[in-house]
Amino acid sequence: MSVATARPAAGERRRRMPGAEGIWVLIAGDLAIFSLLFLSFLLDRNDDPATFEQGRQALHLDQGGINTLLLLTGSWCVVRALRAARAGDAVRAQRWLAGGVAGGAAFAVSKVVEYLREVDAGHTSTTSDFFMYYFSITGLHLVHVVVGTAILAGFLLAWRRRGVGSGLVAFESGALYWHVVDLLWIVIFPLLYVVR
Amino acid sequence: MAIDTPPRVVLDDAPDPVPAAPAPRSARTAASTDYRILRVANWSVVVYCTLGLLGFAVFGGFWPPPAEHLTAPQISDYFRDHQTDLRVGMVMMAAGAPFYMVWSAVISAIIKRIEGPLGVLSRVQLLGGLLTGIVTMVPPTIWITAAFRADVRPDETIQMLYDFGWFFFDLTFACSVIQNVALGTAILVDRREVPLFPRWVGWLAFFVAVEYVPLVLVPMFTDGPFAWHGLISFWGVFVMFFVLIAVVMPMAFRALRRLETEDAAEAAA
Repeated sequence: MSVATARPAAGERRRRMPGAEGIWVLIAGDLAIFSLLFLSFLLDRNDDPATFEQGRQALHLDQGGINTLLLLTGSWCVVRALRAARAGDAVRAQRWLAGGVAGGAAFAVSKVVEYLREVDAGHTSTTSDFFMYYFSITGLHLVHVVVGTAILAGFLLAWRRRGVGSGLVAFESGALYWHVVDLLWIVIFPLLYVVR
Repeated sequence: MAIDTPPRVVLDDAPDPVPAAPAPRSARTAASTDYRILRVANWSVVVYCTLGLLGFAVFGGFWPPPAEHLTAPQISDYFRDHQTDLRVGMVMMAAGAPFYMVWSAVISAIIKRIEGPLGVLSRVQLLGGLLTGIVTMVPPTIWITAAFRADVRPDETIQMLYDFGWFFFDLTFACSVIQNVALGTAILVDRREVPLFPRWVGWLAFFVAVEYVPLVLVPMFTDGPFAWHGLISFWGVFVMFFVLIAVVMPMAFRALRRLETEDAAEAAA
């Protein structure tokens, strides 16, 4: 902020953080909560490595991998949508954004299928500490995915009705949030599914 | 001792401006505001925090609270061992709770200046504050019931009251959510060139609101981060509740100062 205001004459556009002013407080807070959860997971795993390893092996790594691909592809679509919107290319922007929405929706569906598979195999949140963390961490993340997908879908509808020109800062905020959802999954996937 | 401090500030404050302000009496119109009352009401959250934390954390010893997974004999032992402290603490907590409502009324008044007389955010914020006050007022009356006659009550009864107090406390989180969301929205829709509250405070209010949502998991787990004594449900939620107060209260003083200056400029024009 102060850096930006210190050099006002650098050009028409001031240097600034992307997204709405101050939204970084929300994002940093959200990341801090998940970090607490990850820390708590690691500490509890340290106390009982056998149970946690047993739980990890019961997860469906293939489905976790597919979900990672879906989310990363969706995030890439959002990046392209923002770039197209900044360039004023409405058709492309909408197409890419639709891809992002589809990625989020597919992730949510796939996650529900994965939960059903786990429950079928007799694993619920009360099975062990590992599954408590598995269901709560991925569940909170899934809530983020659903909210993020709804936000992206809202922008898609707004773009269809009013064009892509206005509200770019607001869309930047939405895209930022989406990348946070993405970033969290990139930590969650190795932490729960991969690392021994 | 610490309980005495906030009201004393009020008393020190009160006599001061009265002789020093001859002008407002003549300049006062129907629309003018007594900012002293607003400031005193803004201080009232200090009474709330002092009584609440003394009662809950110091006398009650609920920092962190006895765990959700304790057996009936274990939790009853706690209530029997701390019977007197719990009684004193819970009385303080219940008595302090309404000061949160007074404070919410100040925030509501400032929001009204942002959104205009027909706005609904100031009212939702006030309702959320009122309900949050009730949420910190009822659990101590439940816990004091458990402590009172703890020596003759069966273990299961004490455990049930302890559980009930926590569920009343945690599952009513949406009351604070609507308060925070109303405050955050008002801050972000402020169209002044320099907003009354910095925008990051609005996002902080949203964050604290979001952070309450995992409390839905309190009934699902008796241990771990989502239990009522856990890392998220206790430490995250309780610390951030007070952090938000500690941020909003000084910002409210700043906003009141600006509104007062604006009013004075308007009256002079």
